[in-house]
Amino acid sequence: MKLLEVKNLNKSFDGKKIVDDVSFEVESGKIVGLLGKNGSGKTTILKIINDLLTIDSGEILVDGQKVGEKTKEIISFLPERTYLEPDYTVSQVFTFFEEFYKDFDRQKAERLLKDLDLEVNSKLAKMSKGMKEKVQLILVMSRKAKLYILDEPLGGVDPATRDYIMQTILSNFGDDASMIITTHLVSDVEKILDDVIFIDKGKVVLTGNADELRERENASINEIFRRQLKC
Amino acid sequence: MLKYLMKYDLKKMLKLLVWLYPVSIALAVITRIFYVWDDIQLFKIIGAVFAGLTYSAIANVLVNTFVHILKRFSTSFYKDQSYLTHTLPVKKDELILSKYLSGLAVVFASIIVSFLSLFIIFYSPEFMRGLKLALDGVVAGFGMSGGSFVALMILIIFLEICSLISFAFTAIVKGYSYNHKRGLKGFLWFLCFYFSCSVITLISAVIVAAITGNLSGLFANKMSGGAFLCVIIVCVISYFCFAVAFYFICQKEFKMGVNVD
Repeated sequence: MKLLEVKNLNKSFDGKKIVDDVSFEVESGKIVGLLGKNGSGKTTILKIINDLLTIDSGEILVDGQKVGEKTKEIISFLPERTYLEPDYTVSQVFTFFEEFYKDFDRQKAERLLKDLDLEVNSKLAKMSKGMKEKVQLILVMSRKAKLYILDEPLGGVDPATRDYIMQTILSNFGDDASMIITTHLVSDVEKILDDVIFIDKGKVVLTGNADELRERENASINEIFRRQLKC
Repeated sequence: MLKYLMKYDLKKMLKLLVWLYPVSIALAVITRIFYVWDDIQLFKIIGAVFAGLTYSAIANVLVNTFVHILKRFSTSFYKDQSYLTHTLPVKKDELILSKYLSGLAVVFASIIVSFLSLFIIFYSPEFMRGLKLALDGVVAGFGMSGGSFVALMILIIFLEICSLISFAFTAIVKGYSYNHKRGLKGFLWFLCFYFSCSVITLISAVIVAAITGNLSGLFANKMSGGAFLCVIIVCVISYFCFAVAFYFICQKEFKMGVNVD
């Protein structure tokens, strides 16, 4: 079953095409890697799916519905930016999520927080960028969403924590849920990907099943990424 | 969801003001205490200093009220926090309505605190009698009591503030529809809305005065009662219409989608 359909998506800024006729689909239960160099248009595509940018043309359907408050109920989005209110404590942010998202599991969030050695009463203003990113990841993964969209979840995290985060993502991800994950740290995520979409200069340059690609190209996804998108 | 949105909007808008409100009232109380003993020269001077501090606290409350309402609107919808705001499963109408209602509630609270501070400093039976006499002098010939005059002025001020908030919100949304110099363009839109609506109000007042035969009274040295009534009615209707119309324009523009940084 198709959970996300992106059809002929176009977006320009100041006359420059950032997303150029992009089309792809995400099936239920799949983990999809949206891979590309910096500035290739990955984040723009994710922002459009999350109603943070308007489009010039094209269509996006999430679970058969156009982007709106219904689709936001089933998407759990982790942006690259730190969006949390610095005045709040982690506990207050959990309360905020509980109030707005019916599928937020506070107990799970507190358990994950403990695993990552973070305090529920810590003020976000006193946390480092990396710690805030961990809190955001906990918030996103503590929802029972149908579609998880993670934009560079490993970007600001130290290598020692990356494995734990990958494990957290996998163990908190339901069988019927799907995930789109963008990163330039391809080697860290490639083992969990079912499908991959390579983006370059706003266009989809290669897409397919990760295992089939590895077999066909006789190389890892990381190597294919380097070959396909070399400067 | 509106009540949750308003809870967080009010919390943010009132963050600094909850400190400024008691400061303003406390300064007013201290001023009043020194005014009671104004037969002692030193106390009179200290009282004057505290009166100055109270006025600046009131000005601070009013300026900060508008700054925090507009800051909340732009940070929540267009800065880093927008990544959370726009991904909440909430209707866009509710997002805008929450900002409006919270903004009006904060304006209302700030006006009450400002009046209360002034009341604490100045209230005395003699002062009220003097104020009533002065008001009677102003409204003599307008065919209304001093109390009605004050009530009408408060209504007009409130409606003008509502329309100013509507202009400012719409201007921010318009400003952010551009890719560059969004702040400047938003400010220019605000000036454009403000001046064009002021001109419309003025022209409407002249037309209504002409139709009702009060045109000469409008431009006389001392405005006639009929002309004054024309101006008041036009102001009330215009500001109300501008506030409502710009609320819907803002909502329509906002629903067309945002482009966050």
